[in-house]
Amino acid sequence: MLNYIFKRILYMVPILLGVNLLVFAMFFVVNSPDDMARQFLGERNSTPEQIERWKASRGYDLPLFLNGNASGFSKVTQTIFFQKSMAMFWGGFGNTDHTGQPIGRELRSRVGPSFALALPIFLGTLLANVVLGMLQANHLGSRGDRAGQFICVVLMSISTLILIIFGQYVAAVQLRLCPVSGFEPGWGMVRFLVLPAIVGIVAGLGAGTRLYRTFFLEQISQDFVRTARAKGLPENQVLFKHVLKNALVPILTNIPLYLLMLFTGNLLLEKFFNLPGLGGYTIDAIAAQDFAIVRAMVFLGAVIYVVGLLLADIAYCIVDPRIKF
Amino acid sequence: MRILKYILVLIVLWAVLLAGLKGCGNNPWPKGMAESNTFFTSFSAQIKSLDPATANYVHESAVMDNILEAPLSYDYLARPYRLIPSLLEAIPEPQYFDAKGKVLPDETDVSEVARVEYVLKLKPGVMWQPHPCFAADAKALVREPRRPQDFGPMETRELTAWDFKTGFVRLCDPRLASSVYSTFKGFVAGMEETSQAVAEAVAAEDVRRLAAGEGRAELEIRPSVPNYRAIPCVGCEVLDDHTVRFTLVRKYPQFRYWLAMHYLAPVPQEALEFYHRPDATVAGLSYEHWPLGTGAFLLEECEPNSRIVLARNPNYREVYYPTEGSEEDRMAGRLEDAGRKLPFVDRVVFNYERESIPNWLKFQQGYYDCSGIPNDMFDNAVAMNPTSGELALSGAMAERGMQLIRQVPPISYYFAFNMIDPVVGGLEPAKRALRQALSMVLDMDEYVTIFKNGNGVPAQGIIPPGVFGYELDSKHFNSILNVWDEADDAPRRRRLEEARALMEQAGFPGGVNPSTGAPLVIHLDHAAAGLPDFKNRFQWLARRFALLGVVLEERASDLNRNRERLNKGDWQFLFERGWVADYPDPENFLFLFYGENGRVKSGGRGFNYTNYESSEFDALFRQLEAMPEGEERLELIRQAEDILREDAPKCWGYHPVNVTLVHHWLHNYLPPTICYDNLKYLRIDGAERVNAQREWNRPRRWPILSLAALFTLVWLFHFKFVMRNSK
Repeated sequence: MLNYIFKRILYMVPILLGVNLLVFAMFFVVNSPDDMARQFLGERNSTPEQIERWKASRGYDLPLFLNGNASGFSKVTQTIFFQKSMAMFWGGFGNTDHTGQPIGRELRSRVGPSFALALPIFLGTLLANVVLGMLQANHLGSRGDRAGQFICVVLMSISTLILIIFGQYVAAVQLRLCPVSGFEPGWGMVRFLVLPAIVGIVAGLGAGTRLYRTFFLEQISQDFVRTARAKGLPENQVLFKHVLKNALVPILTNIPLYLLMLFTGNLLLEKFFNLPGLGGYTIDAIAAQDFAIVRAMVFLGAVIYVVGLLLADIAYCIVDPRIKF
Repeated sequence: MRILKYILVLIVLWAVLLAGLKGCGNNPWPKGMAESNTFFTSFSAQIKSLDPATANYVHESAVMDNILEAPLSYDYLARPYRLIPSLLEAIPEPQYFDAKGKVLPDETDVSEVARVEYVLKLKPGVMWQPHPCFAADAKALVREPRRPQDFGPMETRELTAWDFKTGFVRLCDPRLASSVYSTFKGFVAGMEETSQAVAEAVAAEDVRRLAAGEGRAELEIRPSVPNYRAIPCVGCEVLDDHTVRFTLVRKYPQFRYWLAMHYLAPVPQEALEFYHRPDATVAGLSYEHWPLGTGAFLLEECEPNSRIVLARNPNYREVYYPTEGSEEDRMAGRLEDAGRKLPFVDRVVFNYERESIPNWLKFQQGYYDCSGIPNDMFDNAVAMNPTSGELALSGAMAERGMQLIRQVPPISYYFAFNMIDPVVGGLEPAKRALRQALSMVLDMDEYVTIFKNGNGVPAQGIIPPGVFGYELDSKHFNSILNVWDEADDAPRRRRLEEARALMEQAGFPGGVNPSTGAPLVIHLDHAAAGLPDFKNRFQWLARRFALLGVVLEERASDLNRNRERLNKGDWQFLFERGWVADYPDPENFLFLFYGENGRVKSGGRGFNYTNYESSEFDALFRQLEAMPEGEERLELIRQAEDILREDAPKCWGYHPVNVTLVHHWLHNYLPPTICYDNLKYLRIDGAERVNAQREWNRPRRWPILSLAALFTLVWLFHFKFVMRNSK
């Protein structure tokens, strides 16, 4: 097992390097440093001289991958790719292109609000999906199951944006029970997070319940379930002890996706509910073409996803001792 | 036992629900804030910088211009705009010199002037906002400081001429890449040399710090701060503590307007050195986000990604509300506070709103004091009065006492022809006729009605209302494209037949090219594919051109490629663009047609996007740009505008009308246009606001309680079912 973990950690290096290289190349294909300078300076001030000054001030006056004017190892290190992208491997996220503020500090200050929103969504969605999926699977083909399936399809068909606008209109405008949007640090954040959390849970309910229903259906028709029922175990125990435990492997496969959201934020919800989290930070950076932030967020996302997959693999072994690596 | 468990769970759930509902409400502000003398507003784009050297955007100015002050400002109510001294005793008069240093009279021709001096006399006793940078022994007062106020003691000192020099020399610092540097250096003496001197001073300081044992990483985290005051600068010299002299290399009367821009605001060297301290750097403080000024408000909270709070500056000098205004101002109650000491509000809260709908909803709930109207909501908010034809608030909004303020900012929108394009460009009579014909069919009245909800004034030329040189009467309008309608007392587009006749003169009868027999194809170049109503606008343009038999084809590109094409002159007919005035002088609009500013000719530096070049216009422009306002200048402006109307390098579009809604408790509000230091003039009636917010936002709890009751019933039935089964 330790060998496997070590190997997986080693695999992470080329994966992250590849992600880094890909993002870097993609960004520079559509957006050169000159374009970034123009974006920052605005059309009126984008004279060739100003563009050069801006690039020099942000370190974008270096060659992309190979510095012909340097010698030795500096040929590689004195390049935009090394200074801006490779530095992230040792925690150097650098400064934003637009404000010059340290990205690392911004990430630290924003991870809290993102986490505060994503955690209840994660737990709420997981709980709702498990309970509803289990109920539907247990009453397969019944009127309740059919109605549940129908509601799931309806929920899947409604865009999250519509749910957000509808939620804001009903809860904040008609019922006047919570603010339309905003944020407050400390315990005050609760009243701002209730609505986006509910919307987030509802938005994930349709697809999630259907998926979990399938997971449970696979288990519910197994022999061990029939045996458990034949032994006279109460239905609660059959479902939540035997069926759920055996359905955990596919459920765990899904968890790294949620883990990613926990740390990198929910783009749409943070944007529309005006939450100062990492999702909103990324959206703003994309709109402003701030490559430094986008690059850092993509790298961070890749790290979390790869680590999440590794953790899921380890969790497989815990929930199912038959799995060996 | 089981029944007790069920009842207990029910009681707990109901208690949680009732407790939760009790604290519910849609007020987004912390308790007690609505009662305070605070103005609540929002900003919709991320704030990148509040540093006067690098802040370029309107939403940044809206915050920053209330914290720091430029030497001059604009009268809040006067239209056309009028400069007033802000930090100076008087508006400085230029003094002209020839190459030998001899003083020249004011009316001297531009070509004879070798040097211009502006001597700025500072008002005595202007104090900086309290800040720890002025204290010799400032240290952190809390364990994790996050704002300058977390350091102490807070002290102040008097504003001096050296602070102007510090601010100006910073513009030359290559590390800041100030956006105005390349423009300013064409006018102000010695900026390149100063920039070089700053670079050398920074390098010397870096060497000193490295020798003192600091590492390269430390230098990157805390870039060196040179002593800007000591760096020689010919263009900006300190004569004494209250006098500073700016030297220009050419006659340029518009420099007075530059003095009203935040780029020339004073900066205290002490603040730059304070933010350079290791403890300030660790706290994440920088001048870029915590500027210091002499304005009516100081920065209390700065979270550019969520909220910015300004508080009344206790050191603000005696400044009073203007006593003169128009009849319209008097009718709107904007003269009720005449002569009263400013500012009126204690605090201003700017909230970051990424989306327009939540912003609009909060305004309707009374949580913002003013708001624009999102396009999607316009028809709900505003209705046309059928009798007067005027826009008025819809019933519900009017009932709530909201007011509608319409104002025309100094902005011109247009569609442009590329004057070096072989088809539509050139000054030959046929080409001119083609452009006139195409412009004639684009009826801007209709365009504004359809796409701008009627919020625009069809343009007769490039100069917008409110700027010297703008005229609109039966003698002064664009007679090439319009006729004067005596009944409406307004210009009306010429008939389609006249446009068709022009097409014949252009050599395209019926829009057909006789040599090929095919219809003339015009390419619309744009980077506006993302605009929500672009397709509709394109269809409108195509339909209008089709009236002349001309085919309009779309040529889309992204923003960066579009810029490249503009720089190379590789385009034909440009989709709607606008020009926002930097200062309210006609030169700032007419220079868009000056030959030397041609985009291609200047290698991408100039703002004459159309690449228009007319020796006649250029001669007039050179004459009028350096003239003082007066009848003679007005006559030259008329001639210049007539040339432009005749040559038609642009299809003159419209001047937009800003529509703002304000609540009845907000007084003296005028949407800022040129100058953004408007917050000190605003007055709030807090008691009225609180009453309205309470009345409009009483929580409706009954639907939730009804739902909860329903669930309780279901729960009880379920309990009954479980009990029966267990029996």
